[in-house]
Amino acid sequence: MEHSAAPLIRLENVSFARGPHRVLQGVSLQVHAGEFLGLVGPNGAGKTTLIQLILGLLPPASGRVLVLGEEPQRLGKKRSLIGYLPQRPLVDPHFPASVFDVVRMGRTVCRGLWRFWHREDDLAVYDTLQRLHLEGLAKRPIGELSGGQQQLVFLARALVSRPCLLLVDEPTTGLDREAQDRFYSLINTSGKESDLTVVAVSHDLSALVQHTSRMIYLNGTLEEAGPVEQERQVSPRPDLLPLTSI
Amino acid sequence: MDIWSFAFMQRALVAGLLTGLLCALVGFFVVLRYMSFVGAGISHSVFGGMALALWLGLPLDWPAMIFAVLLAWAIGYTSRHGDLHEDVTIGIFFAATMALGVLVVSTFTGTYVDLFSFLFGNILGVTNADLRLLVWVTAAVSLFIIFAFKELLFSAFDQDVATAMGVPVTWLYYALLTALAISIVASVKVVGIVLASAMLVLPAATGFQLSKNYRGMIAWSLVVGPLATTGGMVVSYVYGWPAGATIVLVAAGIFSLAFTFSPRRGFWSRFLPDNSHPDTSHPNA
Repeated sequence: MEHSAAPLIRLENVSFARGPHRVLQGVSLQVHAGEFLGLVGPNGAGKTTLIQLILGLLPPASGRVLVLGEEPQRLGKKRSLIGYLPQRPLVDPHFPASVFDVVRMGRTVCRGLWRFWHREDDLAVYDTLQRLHLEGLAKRPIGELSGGQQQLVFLARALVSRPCLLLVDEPTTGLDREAQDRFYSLINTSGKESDLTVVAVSHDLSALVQHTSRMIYLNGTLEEAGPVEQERQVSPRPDLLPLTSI
Repeated sequence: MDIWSFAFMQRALVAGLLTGLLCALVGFFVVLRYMSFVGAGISHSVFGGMALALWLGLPLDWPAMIFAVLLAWAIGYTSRHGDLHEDVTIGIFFAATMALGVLVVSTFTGTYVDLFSFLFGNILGVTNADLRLLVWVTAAVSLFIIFAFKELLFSAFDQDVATAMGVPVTWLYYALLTALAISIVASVKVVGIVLASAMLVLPAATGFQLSKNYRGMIAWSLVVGPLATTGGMVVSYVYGWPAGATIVLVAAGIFSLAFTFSPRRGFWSRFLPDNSHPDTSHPNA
């Protein structure tokens, strides 16, 4: 696919090591607006590290990372244009916050540090909850929800600042296949509605492949996995979960 | 005779109210972030700072405050960057600074020191200078918490995502440690070193028992903190009991009532018909 506009994410020959262990080696990648990129690979392949490099949480040992045309550490307020959904976090079941409060946290940077909430933030929260069919849960304490519901709330938190780029890192771990499909369908629908670019990480190819526009295989280095249509039909790599269940 | 006609009682009342508010406000995040042992570590370290100030012939408040802030940062840094867990780090600093204080007071100061009032407070001995310090600290800490509230709440709930989203989580952590340290130093005159950490926890823990939402938790904390300090002060005056200990016992009594009878989280509520089961009717549950 040809892209004329500048990519939202550009990685140029990026390497990263943890001590003596080399996690990523010479990774180059471009992600353009509107793409739904699936990043798959076995456990320990460097998928989460790659997401953390894109978020600027880790500095590359060599190479260059550009997000929205800037180095991630220098994004400033543009950071609110990135939504992030990590692996299912351990939620303190007694934390005194409602679903509404948790989703609104996603607008912290967008509202501006050290500023008070505005009515506009509340409206954005209700709008996002409605889009994800979560409006009925708005007043419920977050700790009282099931794991699947909590993860949807965290998706709402990632989307509430109306980002142009969404990074999701193994968000469906622990969910059954049906719930996984619904989850990625929701991301897909939201993406199409708001021209969202999505990078989704999973070790489970079969969970992702139905929803992505491009797949990439990562195991220290990157390998383009080919057109998605082809991936949906060919035999899987031996180190990935079988495609037969799709 | 009206006990409030005495100037020292009026100062004590204002000091009690301010300490109650200050401890309740900082204590909200202490309880939410499981930092009560950090509070205990910092409050005990204040003794080392005060002893050093005595030895050097300096006024007590500012050196104690600087010492407490530096120690709070050291605890924060060591827990974040060292291989030791936070509670181990605090245990080490806690013991070392108390030992330093005892050594300096007993060996080098050569002056009479009312150790008991350091350790357990002397609210009736609050001076105008103590009050001024308390007013400044309460104002500064309140402003910080009011303006940084949404960021502090986000990082208390999900530090990793808050960091990823650009919230200055590390900066906020050290700022909270600083607020905690200066609040403890300002409260020491009222409740003492040993009991200051209790006042940081009890009002907020009571608020937690009484509410499932942070707004209610803060509101209850801000009611319970001043109520415990002023109530404890009156009881201690009437019965001639030590003020610091009485204040903490009143706060503990209020907490016990909330822990037992709170309709939301109380012990007895477990035996009531349960209507708070997770909603599993949602398609993605």
